[in-house]
Amino acid sequence: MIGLQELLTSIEIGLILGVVAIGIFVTFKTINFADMTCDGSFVLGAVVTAVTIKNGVNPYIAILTSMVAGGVAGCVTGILNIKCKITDLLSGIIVAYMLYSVNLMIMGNSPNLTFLDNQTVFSDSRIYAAIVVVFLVAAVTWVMFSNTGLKLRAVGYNKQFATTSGINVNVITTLGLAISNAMIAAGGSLFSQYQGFCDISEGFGMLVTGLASIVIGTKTLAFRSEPLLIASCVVGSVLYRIFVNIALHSDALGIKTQNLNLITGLIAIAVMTMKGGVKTKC
Amino acid sequence: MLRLNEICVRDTLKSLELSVSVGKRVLIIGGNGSGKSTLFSVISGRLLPDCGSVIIDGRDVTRTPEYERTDIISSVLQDMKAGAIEEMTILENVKLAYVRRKGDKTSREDVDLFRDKLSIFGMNLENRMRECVKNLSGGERQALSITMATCADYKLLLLDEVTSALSPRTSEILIRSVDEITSTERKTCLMITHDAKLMESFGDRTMEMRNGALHDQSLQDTAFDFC
Repeated sequence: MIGLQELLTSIEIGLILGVVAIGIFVTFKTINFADMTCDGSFVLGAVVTAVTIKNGVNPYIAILTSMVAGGVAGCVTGILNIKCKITDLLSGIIVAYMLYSVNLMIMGNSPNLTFLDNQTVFSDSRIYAAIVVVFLVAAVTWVMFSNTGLKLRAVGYNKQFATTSGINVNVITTLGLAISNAMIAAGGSLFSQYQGFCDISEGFGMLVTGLASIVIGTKTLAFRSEPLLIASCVVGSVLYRIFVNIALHSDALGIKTQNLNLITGLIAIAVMTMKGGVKTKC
Repeated sequence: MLRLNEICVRDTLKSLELSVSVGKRVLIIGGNGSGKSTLFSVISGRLLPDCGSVIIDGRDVTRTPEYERTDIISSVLQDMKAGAIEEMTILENVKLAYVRRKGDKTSREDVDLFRDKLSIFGMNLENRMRECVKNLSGGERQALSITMATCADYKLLLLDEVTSALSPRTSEILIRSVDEITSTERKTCLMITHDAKLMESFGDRTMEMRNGALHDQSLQDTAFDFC
């Protein structure tokens, strides 16, 4: 079984990646846009943070900078989809593909960057990082309760109705993508600060783990109010990390680290096929 | 109030002319495929005509996108799923209906006003604001859609076969309520219908869509009412 330290590590990583899960929730669930930019924008957030912190920028400013970069990546996906008429799936894949080169360029053509000696949000006390996560969750929940959140949901449910209600579907879709990728980049930023380094390949599989977290969260913490489901994503992310840790530390199961992706997929399938779950008002 | 000048859309609409003055209610009839819904798509901005112009309230809106026309045009379609979001409650849909106003959040007064308007239909919907739209019957959904379309400011109401899938009794209630709302608020309304009974009970004027153009059916009316 896992020890207390490993449990705490799972909770920490779960909270950080919960921010990523929220970003994925905004596109996949709220605006109903299958956005694959995630794997690229997560690393974008991580590398922007690594470079800015290495250049002596305040770690909180580094998170904000990463969010802006992620937001821009989301806007590019939106423009490809809306203006160039490329499907949602493909526009996200193309942007994520291009971001690989962009991320390498930002890192000065190095595949990884270490900044262990620099000040991060985790340096003084982990409570500051927790406050950042709580702030990000609260910010997105607030947006979801606002008129903008209502418009985002309307676009996700019924684009024709949204248009006849005076909503500019193109602008709201792009806004949703920007919010989503800004959150994913914030997750990447926090993750790189947590590790003290970033790697060009650390975004691989982030989308699947994010989706697994959303499913676990919305099945276990089923709020009736849809905007409150944002909080379920974070809970789902923490539970997912604990499940994976238990699976990897269970000698009886004989599972090794290299089986991680298989375990992730199996956990996701198991939870998705479970009965019950989201009990929103409708 | 509404003027269509030589509108043409491929082979469907051919140099179509129409002029409706403020507060008039016009019924549009015609066979399947005659272009009635295409006409509404052009007026609402869903479809850009190949030629001609759409003038509403003295403003040329031919190239104005659909979402920008919603401050002057409200529409309810035949498709019941298009009039309200079924995954949301009535109350949430009310908030969305006021989004058109482009103002701040919906106030309590707005909701009360909406309830009053909803009560005109006599379906007790005003006391079921937290109910999901997907649990409502077809008639109730259309009543909600019409209320949503008429709650915020608008100048022209487009109703595209809103009673086609409803029982005669429910249709009668809806039409009577629409009549009450549009006549009280003195709003211009265009309604497409296949229901012959409606021609007797609703509207100031009946027009038939034939060969891509509109022909007046009403003997007492002159050919067109100019603004």
